[in-house]
Amino acid sequence: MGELKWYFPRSIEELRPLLKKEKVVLHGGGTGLLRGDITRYKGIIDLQYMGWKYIEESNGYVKIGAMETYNHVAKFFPENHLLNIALKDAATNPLRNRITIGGSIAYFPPWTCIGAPLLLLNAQLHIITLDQEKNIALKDYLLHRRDFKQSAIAYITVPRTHQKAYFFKAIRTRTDHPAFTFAITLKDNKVHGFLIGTTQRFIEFEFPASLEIEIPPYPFFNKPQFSAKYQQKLFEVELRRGIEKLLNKGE
Amino acid sequence: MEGIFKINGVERKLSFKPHQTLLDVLRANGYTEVKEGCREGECGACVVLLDGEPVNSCQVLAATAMGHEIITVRGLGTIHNPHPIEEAFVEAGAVQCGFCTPGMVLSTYALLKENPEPDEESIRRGLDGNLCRCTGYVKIIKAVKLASEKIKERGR
Repeated sequence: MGELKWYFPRSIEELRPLLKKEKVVLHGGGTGLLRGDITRYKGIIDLQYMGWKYIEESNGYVKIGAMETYNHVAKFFPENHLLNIALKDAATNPLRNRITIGGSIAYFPPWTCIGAPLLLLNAQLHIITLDQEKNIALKDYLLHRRDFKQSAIAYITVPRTHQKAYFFKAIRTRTDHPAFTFAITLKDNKVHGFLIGTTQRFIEFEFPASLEIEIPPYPFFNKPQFSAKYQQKLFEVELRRGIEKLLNKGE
Repeated sequence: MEGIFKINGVERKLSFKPHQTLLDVLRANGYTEVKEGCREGECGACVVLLDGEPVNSCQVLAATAMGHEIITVRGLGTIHNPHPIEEAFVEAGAVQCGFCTPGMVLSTYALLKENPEPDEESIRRGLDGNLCRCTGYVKIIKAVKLASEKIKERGR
């Protein structure tokens, strides 16, 4: 077995030929990579010199470079913004200094804190593929992941402000991996939201804006934190709590 | 592979395997003040400052840290010239077995750089990646507050 090779591209022109190589993996913050056996790869493409670490605001939108970390993003947004709420206590402080926005989206594990908020915000991704650059909604990216195997996320765009929203993560302790997360908002007298942490990559749901809703069973799976049955119960309780908060906020 | 690492202000050329973590490379090269705990990014014993920000060195591949500023606890103070944070930890009784202390001190350093007078919630958030099995955290929080006062007095 040959030695693992590191690549440090500094431009899209340098990056593209690397994306074509066999058995290479992109390195954002690296925390997701270390969950597996990295020696199975032939090469690691380190994105730190691509100039993708920035946050810019313009015309009511915020552009976040893919290499920006959870801590930087959380600190940029005000306390009532979904991304501040979701990220300021995600994982732990040292991990929040490594986990990148692009890496999180590309990896999208069931315990991700950023998934539901970004979906609710209809985040747009700017992707570098082998022969073009394109913009795509996060939802579509996740639904068509296989089409983006040899690609890299350069930045995402989200609105600077948003309607009243609610975020919940099912944790046992402050720094626990969430068993599931969801984010909801009110839209046209309905509760619209996204759930992460089931057997599906994400679930989009909609209910009448009422506490008297019937919540169907969702495909949770047993996790070390909670059983699937408990997760369903917890989701039902917390979803109703979230709806109550959205309905009663009156701000 | 080989690479230049800037550790505690000193540039060193180190040889390492491409899949090794920063924790392993640091310890293999004499920086044993960086403690190996869980190796999963949960306990914070291995925290170092990477470009001023606390990170779990067990979750950083060494190759990606080449050329960056790395500070270990030895880079803050010495036994004869301790950093105010180190003094505060001792005076507050925040050190029992001491294993978590290097990581705690570095996280505290980073916290106080950003927020010189943190409240308890900010301290808990800033140190939420550093676990201690001995103290129950009360004295650690006291130590951080004491460190904040000391730094304010001395301007360091």
